[in-house]
Amino acid sequence: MNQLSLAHIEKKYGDYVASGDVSFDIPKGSIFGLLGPNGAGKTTLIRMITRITFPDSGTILFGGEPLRESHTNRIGYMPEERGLYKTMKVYEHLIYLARLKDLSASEAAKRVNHWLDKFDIASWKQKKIEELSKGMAQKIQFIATVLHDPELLILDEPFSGLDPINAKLIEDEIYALRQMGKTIIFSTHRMEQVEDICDEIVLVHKGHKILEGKVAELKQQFKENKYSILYDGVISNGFADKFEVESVENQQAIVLAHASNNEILRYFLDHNITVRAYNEILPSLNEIFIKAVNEQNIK
Amino acid sequence: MNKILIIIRREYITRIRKKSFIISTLLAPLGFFALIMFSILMSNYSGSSKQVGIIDDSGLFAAVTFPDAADGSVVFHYEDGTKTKEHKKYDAIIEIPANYDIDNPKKVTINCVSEKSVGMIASTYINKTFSEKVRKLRASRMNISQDQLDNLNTDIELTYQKLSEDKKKGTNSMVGMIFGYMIGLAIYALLLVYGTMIMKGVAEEKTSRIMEVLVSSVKPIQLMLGKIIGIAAVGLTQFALWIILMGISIFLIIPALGFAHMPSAPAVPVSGGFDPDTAQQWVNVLRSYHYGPMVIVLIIFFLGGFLLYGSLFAAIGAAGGDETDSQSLTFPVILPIIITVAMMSNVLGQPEGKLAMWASFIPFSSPIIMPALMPTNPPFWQILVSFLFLFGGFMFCVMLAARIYRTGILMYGKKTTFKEIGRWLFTKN
Repeated sequence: MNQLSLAHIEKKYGDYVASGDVSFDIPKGSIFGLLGPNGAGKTTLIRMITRITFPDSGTILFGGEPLRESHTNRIGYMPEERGLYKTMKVYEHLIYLARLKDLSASEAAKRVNHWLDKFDIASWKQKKIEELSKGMAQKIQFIATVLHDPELLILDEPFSGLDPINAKLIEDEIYALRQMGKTIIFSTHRMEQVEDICDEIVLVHKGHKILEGKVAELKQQFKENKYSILYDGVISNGFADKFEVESVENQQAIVLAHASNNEILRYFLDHNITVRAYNEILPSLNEIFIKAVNEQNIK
Repeated sequence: MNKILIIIRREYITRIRKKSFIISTLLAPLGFFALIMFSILMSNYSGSSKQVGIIDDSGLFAAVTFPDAADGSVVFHYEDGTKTKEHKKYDAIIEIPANYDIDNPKKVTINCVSEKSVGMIASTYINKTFSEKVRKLRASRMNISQDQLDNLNTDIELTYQKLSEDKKKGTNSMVGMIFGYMIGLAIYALLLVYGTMIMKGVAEEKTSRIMEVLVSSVKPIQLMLGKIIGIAAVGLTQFALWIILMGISIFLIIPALGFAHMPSAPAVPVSGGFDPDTAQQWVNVLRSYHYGPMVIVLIIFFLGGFLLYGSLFAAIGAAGGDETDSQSLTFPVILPIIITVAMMSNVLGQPEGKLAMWASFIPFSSPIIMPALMPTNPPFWQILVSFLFLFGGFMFCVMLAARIYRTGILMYGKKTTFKEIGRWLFTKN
């Protein structure tokens, strides 16, 4: 079942196409990567999902129903450009944001306390936001996003400005939320960040969808049969004559395997060179993106 | 609870709790109190008592007693000019020349000689005393009795009445004008101060980037109205507290300090030129007003005006972003407020004139003009028409502002021009 379905979404600002006929589905309980360079139209799509703006045409289904106002209480959105009221105290600020999501006062208090305890920051309650470091404020921002227990979580560049420890904390939390059946949309232009995290992705560029699918499948689809061989010893010039070699340096050879793997390995065995590792090189999402954009342009 | 109420509550509470709010709420009445105390003390303060010698070379005033000023600021010493010429112990000497002609008092003048200036209050008192005494002497030479003289001296005060209204209730138009002017100025100040506060609040939400978090939970129009109403409530609270605190200072603290007798003290007319009869008359006029309708009109028009201007200020805050940017966009919003205040004395001078009528109908000026006109008893239909126009006006402005607002709050990094804002009015969301 899909948590969210976008069909033929169009949005223009004057002559500028922010979103041109974009369609994709986000399965329930998945971590979904909304990827693309800056200005690709990611934020425009998110704003339409959160009902901040509305598409010129096309439909958005939330859990199978046409998206409506009441659904916004079931969505948690952490924007890329995020901030908090500087002079408010942590506790009252979180309560305020929770109540704007229609939580009752007592329920809001309960949840805020739960999350502050969970992140081990209950001592910050009476601190003003302006007294917090950037990383601390990010944690508060994350709590604000998940306080109302949303079914769909939209995180726009969630790791920007986070140190590795806090990034790990948020990452673990994202996995935990998926475990609980929540759907997470992860929007970023830094594709290397999400390779391991996302189940599925959609790649957008200049307002248009370029690619979509499961990360593992896309990698298979775009792989170039490249292999990396780590070895000890010296390989002779004959190696490059026999195989299509991309590079040989620092005891590592990268080979485009038109020949079978076994043939390549036999060379090493025959020449008595120790092989330490032999593995296939799958393209990174970045490479897939560049390749897909180029293909699109050729078309 | 409705989301808009939650927003109103936050806007209200965070501002009420601010030190700056508490300080300004307490300081303004304190300043007012200090001003009253100061003026009372000043009028009470006898200063250095001026010893004034009267050297009467003419001998005309030998039988006249010159009363000292009640507050002791002027003490007269009559000396027959023929006896002594010891002048030095006086602060000022009034020389009545030997050839002084009482029947023709302007031919030869009486001189007042002093080393230092005697000061305004003392010289006013001396002038008044001498005019009175000369008049009295001349009257007796013309065989006019004291009673006849008093009778001639009575000032008359016209009582202005409105033809259509209850004839017993004379309306002193002067009091109405001043009172109305004060009401108008108070609304003007509240609109400007709290309107700017709205603009800054919106700009802050935009620059601190909390806006984007908020609009995923609430509609922009809720956010905008919540802020305007919340801040309007702050303004009304401050206004009410000022009135209460000033009331306490006037009716409780000042009398308690023992100045209760002051307004009726005989020294007042001399030093201030304000006589107790006039004061009593003013009080009577002020008492004659129907305060109930006045307060209702004041609150309704203040809120209407605040929604109208507040929404425009909010739109500018949303369009501008950083504060300097907003300030250059503020001018067209502030301009009608300033024009209205500039018109106010003309309007109140002729409360039934054409200008007054139009100014009370146009929604950009009516929030200030209509409550200011209330002490002049405008007809009910005028209030009603004014209200209907204002209602339409603020609905229109809120709608217009909401369109600018919802686009403006999500626009970053571009310098906003009026042309750009014009485009936002017609873009779909």
